[in-house]
Amino acid sequence: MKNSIWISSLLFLLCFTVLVSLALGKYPISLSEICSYVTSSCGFGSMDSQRAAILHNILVDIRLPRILAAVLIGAALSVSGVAFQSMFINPLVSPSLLGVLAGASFGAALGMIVSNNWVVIQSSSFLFGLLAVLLSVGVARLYRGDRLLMLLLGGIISGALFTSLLSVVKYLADPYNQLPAIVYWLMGGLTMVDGKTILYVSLPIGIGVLVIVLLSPYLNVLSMGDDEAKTMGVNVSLIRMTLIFFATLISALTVALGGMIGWVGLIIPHVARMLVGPDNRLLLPVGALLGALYLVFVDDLSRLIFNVEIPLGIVTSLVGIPFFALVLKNARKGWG
Amino acid sequence: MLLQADNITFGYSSKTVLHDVSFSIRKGEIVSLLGPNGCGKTTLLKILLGLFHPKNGGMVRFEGREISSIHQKTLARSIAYVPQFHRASFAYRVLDVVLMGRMPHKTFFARYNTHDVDLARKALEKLSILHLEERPYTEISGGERQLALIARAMTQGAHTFIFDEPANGLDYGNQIRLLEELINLSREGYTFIKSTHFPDHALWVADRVIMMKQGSIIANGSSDETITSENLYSLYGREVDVCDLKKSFRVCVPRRLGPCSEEKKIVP
Repeated sequence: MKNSIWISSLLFLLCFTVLVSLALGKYPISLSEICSYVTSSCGFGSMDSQRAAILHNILVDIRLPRILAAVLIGAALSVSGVAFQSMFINPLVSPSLLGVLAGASFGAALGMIVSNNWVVIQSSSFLFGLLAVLLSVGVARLYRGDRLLMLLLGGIISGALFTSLLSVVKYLADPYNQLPAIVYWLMGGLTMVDGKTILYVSLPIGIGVLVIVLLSPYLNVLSMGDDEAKTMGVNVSLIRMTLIFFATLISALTVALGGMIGWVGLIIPHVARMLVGPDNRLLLPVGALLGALYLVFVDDLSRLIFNVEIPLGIVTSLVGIPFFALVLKNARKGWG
Repeated sequence: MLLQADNITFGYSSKTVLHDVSFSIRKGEIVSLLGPNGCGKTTLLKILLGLFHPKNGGMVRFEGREISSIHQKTLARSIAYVPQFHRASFAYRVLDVVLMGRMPHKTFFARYNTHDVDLARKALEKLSILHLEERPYTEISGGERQLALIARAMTQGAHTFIFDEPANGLDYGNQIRLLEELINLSREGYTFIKSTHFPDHALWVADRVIMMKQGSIIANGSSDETITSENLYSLYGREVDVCDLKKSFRVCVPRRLGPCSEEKKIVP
């Protein structure tokens, strides 16, 4: 089948990229050394214990969490991007649609002001991301009219509100320590990621991505319009709310993990759609793999290009925007 | 009685769209809903589909059960909707569009299996458009798209199809082809309820015509009984002769454009 070829080859490519990325860095480690480290830590073969400790520190403590974070964030952002675009039948929609990124950014900045604790910052970021979405859904419910349009307007209102609240926090922040921290963090980056965070964030992101992928046949039906979907026996509001909830959950978690990483959720869905067509049953898994692949690659760039590391969010935009401009001519394929 | 509408009244906020509409439909009938723009045809069809609920105690019954008491999925296995000339959003394969008809047979997370694909391909084959299965839905002609949506309705397992102006936007050949398919399917027991702007289409295929004007039914009966110069004038405000070409084959001729000869004209 064409479908399984796409998925397995992308999966292979992703594993390969992850492995290569483990070897890349300021402290070069060869692939063969990684292999011997893995076999020796599994109990086969032996290795100089001092060397093993260094490798453990670099590979497991520093590089692996980062790469896993890139995989999770890339997959989550592009899956929620695909879901939002198909659901709202709009090519310009991205995970920031319902104000989730703005809310999460505000939450993180607020967390940085009130506390130094990283857990507080991440939970606050996640909570305000969810709150922003609840606000946009709430605003949409206040008014009668086209439900989708109202939801989009609600998202714009909620996004604008949290963006201004973020400015308030920035203004109030201590300009020597807090403000630079907020600004750098909003640029997006994976430097702060540690193994423990990955551990407890990977489960909800994994579940979210899985649920959306499993609901992909419904996404196809929803894109035919509400009335048609209903006459095909689909509980439109239940399915839509489930999809919005999980798409929001996973994109808010990416902010909690690595700050604002823009453009992935908009560009990767388009590229994936150009590659495999609009059928969400294939598009969603391909989008997830492609997003993960892209972010691991871009993170390698941000670590390696210059002597100083560039924030990931800046690189995703700088790489993504010209690329997007180039493919825009074909990007409407699949959009009928 | 397959489908029965009793005292359907419906309105949006202040405006009444349907006023005390009642009729019933038997299995295997082709029913044409005729009426000028804005007379409430589409609203009535949506009520028959269970998308809107009638007000003031009116109700729709399908095989004797009130439609709002039937679960959405169960209803979808009996009644299918074939929308008007389709605004296509994504270039899905034709086969994938037809496969969507299997949704009412699925549990929450279920996926399509080979049985579903077989049913979808069978429906396409029956309408002789199997060769289109791999083509993008957005790139086939309007007539083919309409046939694909009928295939989807068949794949749904439904035997009652509700069409909103199926011939709209189709070229002449495709309009005829569509009507031919409707007649074929109705012989197998499928029931069709369609709104249309062409009285001729009703004369060619319809067992029955329901005429609507300003939210009320003004005529309900066989096409020969209902499609008369008088009723057409009342609906559309134009003078139209109904002519008998040969035994029991009638056409409508606008009087000012080309009157038909006196001996062929049907005077009620």
